[in-house]
Amino acid sequence: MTSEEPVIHIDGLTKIFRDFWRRPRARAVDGISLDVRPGEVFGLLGPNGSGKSTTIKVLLGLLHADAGEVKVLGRPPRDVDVKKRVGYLPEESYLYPYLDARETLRFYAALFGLAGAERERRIDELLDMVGLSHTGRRRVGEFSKGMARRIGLAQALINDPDLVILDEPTSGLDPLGTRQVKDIVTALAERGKTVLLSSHLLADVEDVCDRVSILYGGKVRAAGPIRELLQVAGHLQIRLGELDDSKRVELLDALEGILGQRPDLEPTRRDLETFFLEVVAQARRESGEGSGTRAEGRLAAFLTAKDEDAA
Amino acid sequence: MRQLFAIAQLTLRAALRERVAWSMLVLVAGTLLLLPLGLRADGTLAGELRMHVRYSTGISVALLAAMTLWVSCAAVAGDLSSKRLQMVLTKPVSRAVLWWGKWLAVSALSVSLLMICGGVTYWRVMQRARDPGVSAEERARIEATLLTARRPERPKEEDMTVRALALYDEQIRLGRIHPEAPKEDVLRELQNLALTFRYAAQQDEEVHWDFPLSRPLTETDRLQLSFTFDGASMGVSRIPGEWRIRVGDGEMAVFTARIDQTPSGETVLDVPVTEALLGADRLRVSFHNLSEESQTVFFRTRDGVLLYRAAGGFGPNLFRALALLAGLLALLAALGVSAGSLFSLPVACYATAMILVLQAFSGTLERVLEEGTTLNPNREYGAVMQSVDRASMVAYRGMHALIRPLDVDRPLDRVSRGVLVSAGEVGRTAGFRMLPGLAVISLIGIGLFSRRETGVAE
Repeated sequence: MTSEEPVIHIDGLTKIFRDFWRRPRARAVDGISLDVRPGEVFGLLGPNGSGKSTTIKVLLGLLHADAGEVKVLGRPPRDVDVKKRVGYLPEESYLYPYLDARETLRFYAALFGLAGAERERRIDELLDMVGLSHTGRRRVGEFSKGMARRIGLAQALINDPDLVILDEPTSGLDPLGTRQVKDIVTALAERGKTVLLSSHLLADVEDVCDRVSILYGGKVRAAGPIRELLQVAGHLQIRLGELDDSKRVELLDALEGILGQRPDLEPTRRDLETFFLEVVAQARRESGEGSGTRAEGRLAAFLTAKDEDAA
Repeated sequence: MRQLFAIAQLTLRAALRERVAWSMLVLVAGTLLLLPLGLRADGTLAGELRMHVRYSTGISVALLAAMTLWVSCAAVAGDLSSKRLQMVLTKPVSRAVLWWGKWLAVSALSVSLLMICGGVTYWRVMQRARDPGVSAEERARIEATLLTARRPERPKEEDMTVRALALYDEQIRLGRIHPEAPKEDVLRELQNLALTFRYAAQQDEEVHWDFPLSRPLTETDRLQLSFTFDGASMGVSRIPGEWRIRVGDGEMAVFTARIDQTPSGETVLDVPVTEALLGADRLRVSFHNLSEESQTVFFRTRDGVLLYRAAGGFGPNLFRALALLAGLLALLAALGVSAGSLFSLPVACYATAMILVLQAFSGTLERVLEEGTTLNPNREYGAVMQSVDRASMVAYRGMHALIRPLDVDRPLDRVSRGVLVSAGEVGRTAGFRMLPGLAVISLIGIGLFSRRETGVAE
């Protein structure tokens, strides 16, 4: 695969679910085409039943395409060599409940052929990254949904993948966890990793994705860079720093003179997520760590290492 | 290999979490330890120990077989329904590695438990047999029939075709058989009848068996004569008779033993290997009916009279029998993993349980195949019934082929009677039936599993 080639190439993908007698029951995906380029964070959006998960499962080789061409990292999705370079976090973290967090990661590491000190180092770093280093010996069956998602995310990154597929990664996470996942996605992208993200939470997608495809009824209804898609034609926004009252009146008068109408002027607001994170950070400084997860959202060292080191 | 062992290790842990598996294990332990307390044999210690080996261990093995099927089906079908396997299959693991990993874990678990069962059986038998309270006579009997593995020498098979044809012609001439009756069926019945009378001795008559020995007798050989017979009349209490053994066609009996006993079960007589028997490679064994009443004695047409040669001890014999059963459990594990790869857990369990049930009726299947008919239709039945019969025979042959690799010829039963389970038999069964069976099951299982979509919503 050359650097210009898309990491994910889908051309006319169709997937039909059939009943026991092979009669068509549902056309889950209907002629989807899309390309995801290297180093891109690509969002797959759509309501329930729009074909997002089916598309992801075809990309992972869990479902066969009825029509169309699908290539992941330049090869068919069921190729074992492709899977070595892919990390996947499913919609639900389907973990073995009788394994503890460390054993879970050890199991998935073994599937990638990792062993010895390298494996243990990665596990330590990932547990630290997702804030579960203190619960390493607790069975994941006892974990909350958010904690299970974190372990799910850790297992998706154990092989230092080139392509990370995240299906609803922030589902079940608190705002801190959500922020952390977004930071991790951004950090992965900065390191040249490709991320395919499917989510219902549009704010999450908007925060981290470069491009999106919006699916409905198994078809792509809109696609392109987020900035272009969200642009409202003919509308502009002016951002200003602090203004005293006299300057504000002066500005409004000037604008009224130019536009022929008096514009509205509103104070800048933080979004709720930013406000929440500030409050929690303040509380943490005052009273130390609470129970549950502990993390700063720092990317695991092996994920930030240079390519030759990681190899 | 790392992937294989990771999957095997995980499967093993999952198996030990199965409530059904633990319930089965409790039953196995109960069967092995408690059932012998309730067994009532023929009143002898030898009989009790035989029952223990045959039934307690046999039931334990049956329970282990059921557990193996459950665990192996659940290993894949359970993981598929819980979607955990989806996670595993997105990793660089081929379906073949996954299949073999699951199989390895279930087989290792089942075989380990089987060996523990075998260990308990061995310990119990040896402890009871060496109890100082056991009489010398009883100890000798146990030593001769259970603690010694004996290789059977079988008599030359008699061809009854000519005799049956003669009987057929005679019966036709006398008008006792309808001329349109299917000749093949009538001849088969007449052959069985002729064989029954071949091995029957009327009052003051002698019946004999010719034994071509597998190798000449040496002074280290220990020889036993075993027989099972019935009286023709009900209520016969004792039948007197005399056994004689001659070398080849010789006139002189080199062994003579008088009996006077009720016809029940197998009787074993020790035959000292005297100088006259050394080097003999063909023996003629005969029984003279000395009954004073008009009492006919019938011997079983198959294995009614056998010569046994000592060929090892109880421990190795039990181990070889367990090796055969271990192969059986490994095959069941393969069946379960394959079924679990293709079907949902309940369907997989039912499908494999049916194979186990079929295996239990392997004798019936073989008898039907021998007879060549299921309905025994005659001409009056018409073409439809004959077609149904032919179709059902195809089904029977298919079922027989399906269970053929699982057919291990009752090894525990033979160990309980002190009959040798030879290393050659273990090797042949493993090499010619079990390994090819495993290869076929794994190829089919892996092939179909590889084509299966595992991401379909349940």
